[in-house]
Amino acid sequence: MHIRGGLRAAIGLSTALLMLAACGGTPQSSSGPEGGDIKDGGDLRVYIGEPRHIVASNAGESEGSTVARALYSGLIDYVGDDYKIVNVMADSIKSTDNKVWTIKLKGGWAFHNGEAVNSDAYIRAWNAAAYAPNAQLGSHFFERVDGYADLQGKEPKAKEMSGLKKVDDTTFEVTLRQPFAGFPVMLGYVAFMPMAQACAADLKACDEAPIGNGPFKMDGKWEHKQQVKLVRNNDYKGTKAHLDRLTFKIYDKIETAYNDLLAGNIDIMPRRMPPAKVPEARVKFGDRLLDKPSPSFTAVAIPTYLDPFKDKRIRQAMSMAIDRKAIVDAVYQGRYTPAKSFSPPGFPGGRDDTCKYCQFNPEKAKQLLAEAGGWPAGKKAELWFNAGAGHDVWMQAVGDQLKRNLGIDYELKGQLQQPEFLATADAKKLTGPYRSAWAPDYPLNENYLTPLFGTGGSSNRTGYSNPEFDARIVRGDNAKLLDEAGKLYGEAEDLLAEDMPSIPLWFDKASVAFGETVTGVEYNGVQGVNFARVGFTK
Amino acid sequence: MTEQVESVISADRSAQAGIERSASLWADAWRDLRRRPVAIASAVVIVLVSSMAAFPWLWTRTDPRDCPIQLSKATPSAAHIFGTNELGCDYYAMTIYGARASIIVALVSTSLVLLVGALVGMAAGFYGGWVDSVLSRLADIFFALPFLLGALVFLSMLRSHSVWTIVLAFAVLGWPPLARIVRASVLATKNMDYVQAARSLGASDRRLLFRHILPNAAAPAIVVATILLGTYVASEATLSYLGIGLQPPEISWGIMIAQGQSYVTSGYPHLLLFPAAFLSATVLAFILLGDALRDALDPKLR
Amino acid sequence: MGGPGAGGLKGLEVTPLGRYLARRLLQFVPTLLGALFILHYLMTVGIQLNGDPARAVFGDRTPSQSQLQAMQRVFGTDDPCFEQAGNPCLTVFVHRLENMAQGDFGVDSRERPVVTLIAEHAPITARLALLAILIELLVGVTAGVLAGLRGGSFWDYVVKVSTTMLVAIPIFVVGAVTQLVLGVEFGSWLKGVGAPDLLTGLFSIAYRTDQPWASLVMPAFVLASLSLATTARLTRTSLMENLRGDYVRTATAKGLTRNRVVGVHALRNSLIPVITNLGISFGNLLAGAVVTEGIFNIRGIGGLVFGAVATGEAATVVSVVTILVLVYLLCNLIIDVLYAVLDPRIRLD
Repeated sequence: MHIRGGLRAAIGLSTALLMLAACGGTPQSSSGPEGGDIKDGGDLRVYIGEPRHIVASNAGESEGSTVARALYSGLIDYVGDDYKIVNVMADSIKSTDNKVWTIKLKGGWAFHNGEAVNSDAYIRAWNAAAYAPNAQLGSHFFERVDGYADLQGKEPKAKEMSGLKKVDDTTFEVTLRQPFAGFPVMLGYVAFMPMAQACAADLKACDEAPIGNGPFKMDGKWEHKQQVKLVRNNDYKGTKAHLDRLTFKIYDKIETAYNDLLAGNIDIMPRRMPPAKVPEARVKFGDRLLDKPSPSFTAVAIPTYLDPFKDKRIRQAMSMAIDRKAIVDAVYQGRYTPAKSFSPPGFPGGRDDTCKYCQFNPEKAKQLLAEAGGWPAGKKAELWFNAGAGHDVWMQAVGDQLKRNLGIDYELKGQLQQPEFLATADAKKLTGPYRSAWAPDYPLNENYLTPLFGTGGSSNRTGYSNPEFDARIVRGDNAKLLDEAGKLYGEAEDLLAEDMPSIPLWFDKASVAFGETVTGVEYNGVQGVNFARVGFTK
Repeated sequence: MTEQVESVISADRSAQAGIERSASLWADAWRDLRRRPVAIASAVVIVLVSSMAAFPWLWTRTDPRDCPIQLSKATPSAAHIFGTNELGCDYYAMTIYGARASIIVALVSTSLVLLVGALVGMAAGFYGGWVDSVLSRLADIFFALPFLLGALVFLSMLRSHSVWTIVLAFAVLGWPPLARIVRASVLATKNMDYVQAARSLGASDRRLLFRHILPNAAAPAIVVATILLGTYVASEATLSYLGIGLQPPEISWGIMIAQGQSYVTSGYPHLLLFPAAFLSATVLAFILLGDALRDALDPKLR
Repeated sequence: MGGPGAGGLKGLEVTPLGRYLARRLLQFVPTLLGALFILHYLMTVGIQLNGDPARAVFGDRTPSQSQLQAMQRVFGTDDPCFEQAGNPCLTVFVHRLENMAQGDFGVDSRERPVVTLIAEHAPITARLALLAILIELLVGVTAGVLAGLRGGSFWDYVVKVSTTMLVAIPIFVVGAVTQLVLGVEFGSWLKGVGAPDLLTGLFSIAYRTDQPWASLVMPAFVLASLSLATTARLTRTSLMENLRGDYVRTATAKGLTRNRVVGVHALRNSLIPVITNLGISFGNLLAGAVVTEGIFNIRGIGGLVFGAVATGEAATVVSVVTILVLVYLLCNLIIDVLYAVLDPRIRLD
């Protein structure tokens, strides 16, 4: 009990400290003595898988961005379970029309190599990320910026986006193609981190030892498949880290890492754990296992361009026939949150009860199916997912539910490897409901709506197109305030809840487990663990 | 004319003698095997497992794909003597139905390996020259390809992974050892007097190969093949563990072991133990039978 | 091949060994070319059938045409032949060969040179394989001698059943159980009582860079367990054969003790086939360690190829596996030569 109280206090305190530092002196009420029970110093050994890249502009996936977030500080941060936006390097981000944004930086920040972090550092970074021949994973984040198209293709017309303009050393202007109220929310993503000149000169070399501006800096090079060693950046302008060293230990198999955590050879698993081990870890780690809501979202998307799925009652019936809770209990040890909406609760703009057809109600499901004229006799529902990634288990459970509750026999189509599965989905050639997963890049409900369901949306593979939905999104884009935008986007989500182009299943949970002497662990689904706040107990 | 006919008869007689010799070798071996308890026990296990593979309904009337999800991960009880898996499928029924994949993979792969190995080995050994060179280099390639990595590359090429694609992978990678055995045996016998005699009497190549030369290679080839049977059962499981073997909803011991092993320390050891026990017993049976066969067929070790 | 090389070859030509070596090395060429082509073809068809690995990098987010093309250049799948199922992509193959001839083995999907990758991964795997062979020599040969001294005895059965049992249990189960019992349970206890670093290294869960040998011992045991049965059986069989040999009878008749007869005469001769077999299996150990390397987090060759196959990095797979084939061929050659040197009855031909 005592430990729990202490931990809570530590988390609350460090959050408050960060906001204090970040917001430039906004008064915050905080409790507890200065520094709490966190000791300065120590080497925290952290589990990760081998990242693909760790230079910020290319650190698109979870492992790479975990490292990048320790090495870089961006314009803003997302803090706490409600993803509150706080300024880090930004002094202000303003627009009058949601189209032209003026970003003012705090002065005096420097990269780990001493270079100043100024407007040029940001403009340089964003252009390098967007420039197609660099093949950076962060490229698509700049699609909304004016002139992005000129940097695309095999031999692009330009190397710089016309929408980026330097005003002075600490001010620059971003012009978007269309107004977008959510633009400032995007800026905390790793793709928007600044880039040093030395790094832009040789992106590949920089990927081996990124030059960041964050609370930690590289100690030597990335030792592939073994470790990435970081040390505290003592010249950091923000709140300095407690730890002397931060070592990312790279594991091939998460089971091995878990065993090493048990044996005390690593200190923290910051995001995932082997699913089967969670029940035993609950017992072994107690309060040192945080089960945090994660915005990663799993759904069964429906090819709405195909019979019999064109009829929305069929889609509604299928959704009501699936007992999400039972599947989550059986397959995910009850950890995941059965979804009742299309964007995660707790997310800016997100609600937890938009989807009335997500209720498990076999009677109503049968009725809806009958109203739609029943399921075509003899036809099997083909359920698609990519091979070799363990999706067969839950997909089979979904199929079993359809069979039991609606009498729809199913066939699992899980033989496509991921590249072909994705390409087939892109080409709209899947012949039945398919696995759809989504992890957000920035905390705004819009990120779950426009790309997936907007007409011509970048990842819209269901063929869903509803002019009213598109109109409501545009209304949100033009909102004056972010809260208001979230509400307006939510009105677009209401249409999905009726049309059901996709069947929401569940939201993921992240499991953060750490050793007895570790403290100050705070996690949210976009930012991950903030290592600058973690330390060892005194 | 008469002379020639007589010679043919005598050649045939000598061939017959060869067969009788090998027949008595097999008869001796059979007598020897019957006296070995390990061999008998192995044979019994193989027969039982084969019956599961061929007629699973003799063993269970439960459908392994009828899975009430509320019964997820039940521990063994009277209703489900092996418990249930995470989806609530009866684990005993799954274990019985899982035998089929393992047995098909083992039997068909081994047969193909024997067939290809024998043909290539005979061609290389009998014709020699450039045929031998080409076939030997080809065998070198597949011999030198590490088995597991080779299977990995091969299977990753294919679009879907069924029992048959795994069979194909094992056959493509498995034939060189057999080919070498047969080739060596052909080289050793082709210059023996009785073969030369048959040849000089105008026996066709095919007749020479199949009646006079091949029977001598049979004993070592069959010993190796029996051991291969066991190896293939185990390899199928390893491929499933690596995620490139059979894919669920296909039922196989390999998949069950691979999925069940993560639950061992979580209070559901039955998910690993039952399929692993069945698989290990089967592999053990094949290998020990192969061993016994080797001892029985090798008179030097009697 | 410059002047000195040719001169060297000429010098060798006089000796039968030189001629033999030259012929064998020449035979490597078609084998290696064949292996290269087969691997190239398998990877090509894999990409054609299973989709472009460049697409997978973007996950559930559909990339724009431009983004996809940029990634295809990184993966080397931007040739249109990768869209035609069955097309062997010969131009790509020839290009690959040309590059290889110049020492350029291509890059992985992170544009790191494959040569660097091999330099990173090979030493660890070589250490692992070496330890595994030592363990087989120690444990396997001891077990084989135990069994062979008295065929059909109790010990014979114990050795046979226990070594076969290790083959019969899937290696990933053996590995996971070893790690759990010796690594997590015993290893933690050792750490708790403050055992020295070397000892905790021996029982560590994952490979440790600060204990580059000790922390590979446990994985080497797991890796060796697969072929322990073969080694033991081979030792047993050849020892039994040798014990029946005339020279043993002579030695016994001369009044030498049984220990001396077995230890000095019979065993020495019996070990020749055993060592041959181990030598040949070295190449297989290098690559067969995929599972063991995965479980114990060892950054080795097996894992390198496995990962490259999974992400569709053709250059890595083709180069590394071909090198493994070469290692295998070289091992074979060395063993054949040693054999001839050690055993005068065998003539190189």
